[in-house]
Amino acid sequence: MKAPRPPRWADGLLKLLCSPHLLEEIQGDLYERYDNDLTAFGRQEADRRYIWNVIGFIRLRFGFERAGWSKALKNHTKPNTRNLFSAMFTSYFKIALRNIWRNRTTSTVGILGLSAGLASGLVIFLLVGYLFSFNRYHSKADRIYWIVTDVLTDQPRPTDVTPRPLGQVLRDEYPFVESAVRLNNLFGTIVGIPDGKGRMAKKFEESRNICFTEPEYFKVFDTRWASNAPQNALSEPNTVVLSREYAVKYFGTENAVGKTLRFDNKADLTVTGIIENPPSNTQLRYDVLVSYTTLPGLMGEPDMLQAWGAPNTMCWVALKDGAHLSQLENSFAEITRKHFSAKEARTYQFRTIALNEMFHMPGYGPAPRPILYALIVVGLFLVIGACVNFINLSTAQAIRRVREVGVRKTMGSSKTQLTGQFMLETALLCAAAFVIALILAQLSFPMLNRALWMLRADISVLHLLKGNGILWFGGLVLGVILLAGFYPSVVLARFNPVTALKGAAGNQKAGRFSVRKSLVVVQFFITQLFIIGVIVMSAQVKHLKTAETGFDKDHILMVKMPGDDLARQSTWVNELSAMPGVKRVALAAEPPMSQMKTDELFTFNHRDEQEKFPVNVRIGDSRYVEVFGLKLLAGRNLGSDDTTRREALVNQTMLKQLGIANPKDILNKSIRLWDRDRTIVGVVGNFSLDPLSAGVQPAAIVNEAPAYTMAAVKLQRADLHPVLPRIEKAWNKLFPENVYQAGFLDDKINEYYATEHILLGLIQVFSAIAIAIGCLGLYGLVTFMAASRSKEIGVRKVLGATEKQVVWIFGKEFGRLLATGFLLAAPLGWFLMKNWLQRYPRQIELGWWVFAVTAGSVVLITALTISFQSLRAARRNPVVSLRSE
Amino acid sequence: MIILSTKVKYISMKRTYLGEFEELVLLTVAVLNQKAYGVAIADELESQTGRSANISAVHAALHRLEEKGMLVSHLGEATAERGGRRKRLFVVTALGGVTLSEIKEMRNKLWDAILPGVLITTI
Repeated sequence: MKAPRPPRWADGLLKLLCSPHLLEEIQGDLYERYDNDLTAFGRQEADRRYIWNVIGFIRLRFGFERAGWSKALKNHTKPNTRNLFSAMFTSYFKIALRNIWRNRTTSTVGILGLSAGLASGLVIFLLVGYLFSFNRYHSKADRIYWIVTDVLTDQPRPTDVTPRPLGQVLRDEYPFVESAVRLNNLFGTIVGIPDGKGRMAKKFEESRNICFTEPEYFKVFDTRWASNAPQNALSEPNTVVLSREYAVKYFGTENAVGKTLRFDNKADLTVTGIIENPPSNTQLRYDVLVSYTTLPGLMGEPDMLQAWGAPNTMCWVALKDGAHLSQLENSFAEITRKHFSAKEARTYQFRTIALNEMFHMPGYGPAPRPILYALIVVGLFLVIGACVNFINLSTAQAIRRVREVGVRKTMGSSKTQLTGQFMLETALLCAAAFVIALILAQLSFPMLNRALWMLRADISVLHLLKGNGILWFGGLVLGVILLAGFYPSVVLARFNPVTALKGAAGNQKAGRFSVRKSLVVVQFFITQLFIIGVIVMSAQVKHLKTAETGFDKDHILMVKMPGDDLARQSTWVNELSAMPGVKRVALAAEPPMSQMKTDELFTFNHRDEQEKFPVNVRIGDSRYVEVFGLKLLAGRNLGSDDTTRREALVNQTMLKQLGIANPKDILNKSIRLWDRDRTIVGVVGNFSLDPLSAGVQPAAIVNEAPAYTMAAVKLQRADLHPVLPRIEKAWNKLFPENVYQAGFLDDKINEYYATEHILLGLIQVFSAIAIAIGCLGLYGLVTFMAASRSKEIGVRKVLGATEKQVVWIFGKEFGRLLATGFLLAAPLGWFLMKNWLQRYPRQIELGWWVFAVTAGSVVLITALTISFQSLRAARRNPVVSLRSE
Repeated sequence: MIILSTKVKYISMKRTYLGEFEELVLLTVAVLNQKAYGVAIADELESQTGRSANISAVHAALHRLEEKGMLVSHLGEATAERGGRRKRLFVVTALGGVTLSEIKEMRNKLWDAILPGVLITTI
C-alpha cells in the first residue's frame, strides 16, 4: 500500500508561494511533519495541518522578497531557477499595484461596482444552491419516493396522503421496496410537561414540526442520533423521540431519555431517544416524533391502521438499490385491485413524487424550478452587468497608458506578455472585489435568512465550501477575471507602438469602439429589464393586497380555541361579548379567505347524482356574516337557534354554476353536504376564498358547532391596546390546559403573500444594484468619450457650436444606445412578466404605461449621470483642448 | 557629528539585537549541535518550551538569523523519509555565540541588580 500523501493542490500552492530555491528543504520539512502528524492524528487532521503549514509560508515569500534575499543563500542553491517569467511577474505585480494606486478613484469605483454585482450574484447563487439542496442530503435520496393520491372527480384534486395500510403493504409484500414509512403531520398540538403533581409545569403549542411516524423513518431518512441509537425507537405505543433542541426546550437538558411529556392532554409519552437537530435544508423538519402505534389508542379506533378507503397518511418508500421506479408504479394497479372497491378504485389514483423533486413541485414545495432558474438568470445578469461596467471603466483607463504600451513594445515586449500584464492587473482588482463581495454577501445573509424564516434558512458564505460550491465559485472567479480582463487587455496590447508614442492612438480609435457601445447596450438592456420587473411586480402585489375581497378584514382578532367543548365555547362567547371594546363575536372554523382547501362535493335539491363541481365550505355560526361584513343579497342569515345544523348560505357564483338566475329561486332548496341535508336560507355576495384567486368559486356557509376552532372577534376601532390583554387573561382562565394563540386577520392575509413579498424585495434590491452599476458604467463611458473627443469638441466650438449642441452630441449617442436597449428589453420583459402573471387569476393589465415609465425613468437616470461630464466637456475653453501641439 | 554618532549607535545596537523568538531558535540550533534543521528545531522548541512553533515561523527566523550572520547553513545528505529531499542544516557562528552570551550576561547583570525579596519567583 502506498503511504498517504498530502493533498496535491496544497503542494501546488506551496510551489506557488515558495521561492524555487527554497522549495526542496521546506517541502522536505513539511513532509516529515506530515508523516509524524499522520501517525499521531490520522489522515484528516494531518491534511489539515499540512494545509495550514503551507499557508503559513506566505509570510516567507512576501517577508523575504521585501527584505531582499541574502545573496549568498541564493547562490549556493541552483541559481537559474528564478526564470524570466517569475522576474517579469514580480515587475508586473509591482507595476499593477502602482497603477491601481495611481488611479485609485477609478479603481475604487471599478472594484465597488464589481463587488456589488458579485455580492448580489453570490447571494442569489447561494440562495438558489440552498433551495436546490433541499432533501438531497439523504444517502438514499435518489431512490426515495413520496406516494400521493389524486382524488379523481370532475376537477381532480391532488392530495399529499395515501390510505393508511399502503405503506405496510408495500413494505411487507413487495421485494423491490427496501423500506417504507408512514407519517402524519400534526397541527396545533399541545405538548405539556408534567410537574409531577398532576399539573403541567409548562405547555407548548406545536405545529408542523411534530408528527406520528414509524421506526422505519430512521431507515428511510438519514437521521443522526445525539446519543447512542436506541433499539426499536418508536416501535412501542406512547413513545416519542425528540430533537436535541426540543429536549432542551421541554426539559432544559439534552438528557431527556426516560422523561415524560403529555400529548394534547390525552396521553403520556415517554422519551426514548434524542436525535440531532434536523438540518435546515430538509422539508421533513420534525423535532417531535411520536410513535405511529400511538395513533389507534389515541383515536379510540383499534383497526384504523388496517382501514383502506380515504387517504389520510403520508407515505415514503425507499426502493432497493437497482430497483426501478416503474416497478413501484406497476404495483399500484395490483394494490388498487386487491384493496379498493370498484368505486374507490375509480376515485383514488396513486402517484409518486421523487424526494429530490418534492421541494420544486408546485403545490408540494415552495420553490418551483422556473422561479429558481429565473433567479439564476437574474444573478448572471447582475454579474455580467458588473463585468460590463468594469470593462467600460478599464478600457476608459487604457487610453492613459498608450505611451507605456508603446515603450514596452519598443523594448521588445510581446503582445502575449502585455495581455498577461493587464490580465494580472484585472485579476488583482477582481480579487479585491471578490473579497469585498464575500463580506457584503455575508453581511446581507442575516436579513435574507430572516425573510426566509419559515424555511429556517441558515445560508452563509461558508456554504461555498460544501459540495461543489468551491467548483462553481472558482468558475465564477475565473469567468469574471477572463470576462472583465480579456477585452481591455487585448485593446491595450494591440496599440501600434509608433502611433502610440506619437500620442495619437487614443484619438484614432475613439470614434468606433463598437464593442464598448454594445456593452452599454447590454447594460441598458439589463437595467430596463429589471425596472420592468419591479414595476410589474410591485403593481401586481399591490393589486393582490388591495383588491376587493368582498369581506371586512379590519380589527378582527382571531382567537384559537379547543374544538371539542361546546359548553365552554358558549361561555367563551358570552364572556367576550360582555367585554368593553368588543363589538361582536362569531365562532368559526376559518375566516372567509384561507389557504385551507375546503372544497366538498354535494348534492343539490335531492338530485340523483352529486353535482359536477365542488363547493368551498366555510363553517361559522349565525354571527359569521355580520362579523366579516358579508353582504346578504336574498333570504335571511343563519338562525341563531339552528342547533340542528340544518341551514346553509350560498354565494352568487354557486347560483351561477347551478344555472339559477334569480336569488329568490334558490331559497328553501336543499343541499346535501357531509351526508346531511340542509336548507338554503340565504344568498351572500361573492367574497375571496383563497388569497391568490378571485372570488369566483362557489361557496357555502354552514353551521357546524363541533367543527369550530376559533372565535372571530370584531373589535371597537378606537383603542385596541387594553382589550388584547383582557382577552388573553380571560382565555387563560377558561382554557387553562391550552396555549393562547391569536392574531389579526389582516396580518394573516398579509402572510399569505409572503412569497410575493420576498420576490418583490429581492427584485427591488437587485434592480437598485443593477441601476447603480449601470450608472457607474455610463459615467465611465461618458468620461472616456469626453476625454477622447475633446479635440473634436474644441474644433466644433471654435467653429461656432453652442453648448447645447455639444451636449446634444453626447445625448444623441446615449439616446441611440438607450433606445436599442429598450427595444431589446421591452418585448422580453413583456413576455417574462406575462408568464409570471399567469400564476395569478387576478392579475393586472400589462399596459403601455409600464414601458413608458421604464423608458422615462431610464432616460432620467441616464441624463442625470451623463449631464455633469458632458456639460463640463461642453463648457471647456477650446483653447485648452486645442493648444497641446 | 551628531549624525555620525547615531549611526554608530545604530550599528552597535543592531549587532546584539535579537527578537525573543529568534533567540530561542538560535539557542535550539546550538542545543541540537550539527543536527539542526527546520522540523527538528520546531520539535525541540516545542518539547523544551512547551509552546508549539509553526514551521514557517521557524524557517523565517532561521533565514533572518542567517542574514544577520548568526547562523551558517549547508544542505545535508538526502534521506528517504523526506521523499529524498535534502535538509538544510544550521550551525551557530561565532557572532551568534557571542551575541547569545552577551544577551545572557546582560540578563545576569539585570538579575544581579534586583534586590532580594523584590521579585516573587515561586508561587
